[in-house]
Amino acid sequence: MSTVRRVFFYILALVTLGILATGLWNLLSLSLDTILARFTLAQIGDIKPKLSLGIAMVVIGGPLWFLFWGAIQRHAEREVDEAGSILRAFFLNIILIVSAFLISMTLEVLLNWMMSGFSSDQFSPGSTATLIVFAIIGCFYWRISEKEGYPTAVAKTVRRWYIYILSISGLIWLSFGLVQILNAAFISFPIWQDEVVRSSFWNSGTRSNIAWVLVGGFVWAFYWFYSARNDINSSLRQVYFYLLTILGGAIAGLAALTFTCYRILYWLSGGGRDVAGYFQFVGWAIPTILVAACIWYYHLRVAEEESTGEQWQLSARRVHYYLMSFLGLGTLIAGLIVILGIPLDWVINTLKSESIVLEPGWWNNHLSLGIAMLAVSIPIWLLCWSRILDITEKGGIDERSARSRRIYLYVIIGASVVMLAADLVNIVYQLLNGILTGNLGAETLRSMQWSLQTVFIAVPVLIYHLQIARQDQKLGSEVAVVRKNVTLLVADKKSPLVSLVEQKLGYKVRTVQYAGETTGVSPVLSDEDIDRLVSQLKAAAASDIMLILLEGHSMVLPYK
Amino acid sequence: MKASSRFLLGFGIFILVIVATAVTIALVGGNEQVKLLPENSPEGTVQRFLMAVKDQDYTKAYGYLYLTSDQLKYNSYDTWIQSTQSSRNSSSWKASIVKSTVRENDATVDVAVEVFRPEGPLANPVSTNQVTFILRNENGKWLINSPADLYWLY
Repeated sequence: MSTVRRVFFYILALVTLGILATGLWNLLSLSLDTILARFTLAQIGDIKPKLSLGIAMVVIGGPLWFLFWGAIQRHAEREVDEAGSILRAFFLNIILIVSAFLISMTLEVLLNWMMSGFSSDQFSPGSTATLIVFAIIGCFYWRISEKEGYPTAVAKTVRRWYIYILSISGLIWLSFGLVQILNAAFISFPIWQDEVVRSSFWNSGTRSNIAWVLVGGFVWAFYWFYSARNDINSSLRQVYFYLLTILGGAIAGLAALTFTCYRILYWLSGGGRDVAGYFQFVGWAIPTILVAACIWYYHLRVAEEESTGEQWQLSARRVHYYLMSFLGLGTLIAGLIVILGIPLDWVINTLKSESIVLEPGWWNNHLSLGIAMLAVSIPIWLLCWSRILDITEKGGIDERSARSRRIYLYVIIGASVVMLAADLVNIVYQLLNGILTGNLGAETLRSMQWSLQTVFIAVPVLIYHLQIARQDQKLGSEVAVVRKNVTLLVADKKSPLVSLVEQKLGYKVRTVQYAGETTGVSPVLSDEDIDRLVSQLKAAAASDIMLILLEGHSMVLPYK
Repeated sequence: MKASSRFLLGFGIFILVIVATAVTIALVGGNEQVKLLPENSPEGTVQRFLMAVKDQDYTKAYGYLYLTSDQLKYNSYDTWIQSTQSSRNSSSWKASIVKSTVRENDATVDVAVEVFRPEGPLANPVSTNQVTFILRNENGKWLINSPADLYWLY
């Protein structure tokens, strides 16, 4: 079957499945509506149009879906490659993702209804119908995809997207639910002075939050602990670890911590007269810090545990240090920019004292925010950056050439250059405009105040990181490593020789295990022996090389 | 000591100096009192109106408004008071006069209102609203014709 024909069948199968699902949903929600009306004596209006539409969609959509899906399945039985094709993987996983999201959302509504004591006015026939229809569809396609088992790399990658999208969604629902419950409980404490009337804590909002915790917890546990359990070392898993959970958790926690520090500092400097109302933010800020810290710490530990071999553990630690250092430096820069605004503002006010209203808290607000940012960021940045300096000192050129270090340095240098360029454009524009219109003065200075603040900070940041980048460059960190496709044949895939070779080469190799009879004896290789083998690999004329480490022998075999 | 370490040390000292300067200005400047402008002038009226808003003395602020203005003639005092309530919890702010023009019976006063509202790292926490107050002279007293609402605090 040609690709266009396959695309045609998959699209039509998807569209007709949508028609069939909508028809089934119509009929099911109508049935549930009718059953509910018997108990509540509610008027449900004329059911005939909805019934007719539901039957029409099922009668037309059902056979068509059966026809197109049947054709696809017959083709998959004939062609072995079809099961692992990107088109099929995409089709199956789109349905699984949509089904999982709809099931989760409607399950929350159902749980909310159950917690309300099965109250008939809280029951949603539409949501229940969606849950049933998509649970059937989801189960049907999940069984098919599990049976086929994702035989190709591309099918595995598409499946990973499905798993990690659901994992992170479940984690977000769980975290938000927990924070919301704790916040609601905190606000419900009978300690707020101005309260005259308070509604019950056990309300629809609380039930909804508990439902989200249950749904999110189940979704995360299922996809993270069950579906993703064997997916070690995939790139998408590293993205999930470092960008979504570790960095995401750190950002959420630090933002809440900074906000808490800012509010406390502002209150200490005389701001926030209504104490009870002012400190209600603690209800969400502290749970956010705790939940985010748990997410960050747990995923960091798992990421480090999964990094087998000294080199990959170091790599995991390095990525984490650079991410945290980046986060700390960003917050430090933001805090300094805010603080620098105070003297600049003061200078402008002194030059042109035309303030007619000045709140006492005006300066304190700036100062509190700036100091809160510095108080949170400086320890993080200093700690992570000193560790980076330490591992760079020990690691030499390999450490300086590490990809995470190059990305870190060039992102900071690039961002500083862009920031400087934008600021200088504004400064020059304001100056020229002031000169040409004859209005050069305090107002011109006010118009370029933000640019001046950012320039003063961006310049030293740029100079410092440029110095480091140049130093790295001088030591040869920019010399490109020529990667070869190395396949390592060993008696045991878990042999420490694998990580030693990878460490010396500076990149991962493909490892295959010898299937024949073997004594399981790996060659005893000294550091010098491995260096010699690595030199042979690098010197080999071919780009595809087989390295055999079996039965006490080692051999480098270039091949075409 | 390496050049980069020396630079880092210098940057640390720079941070300390900036923080010390900012703390001094915040502590000293925070107690600064603004000069009161002459009461019977357009700038003085605007200043007293804004100060009354700052102190949440809305009855006093209402007294500086021109009651037969287009914005107020169909609204009662109660409606105006209600419309101001949402500004109660807004962040701190300051105002300065940019320009004023006085004609025979009317005047315009341009005011820059700077509102402090943090919106995330690397975003300017101070937003500046340029407000033009239009005043009318009634029986020798300057009253604000527009704007009557406090949209500029958002």
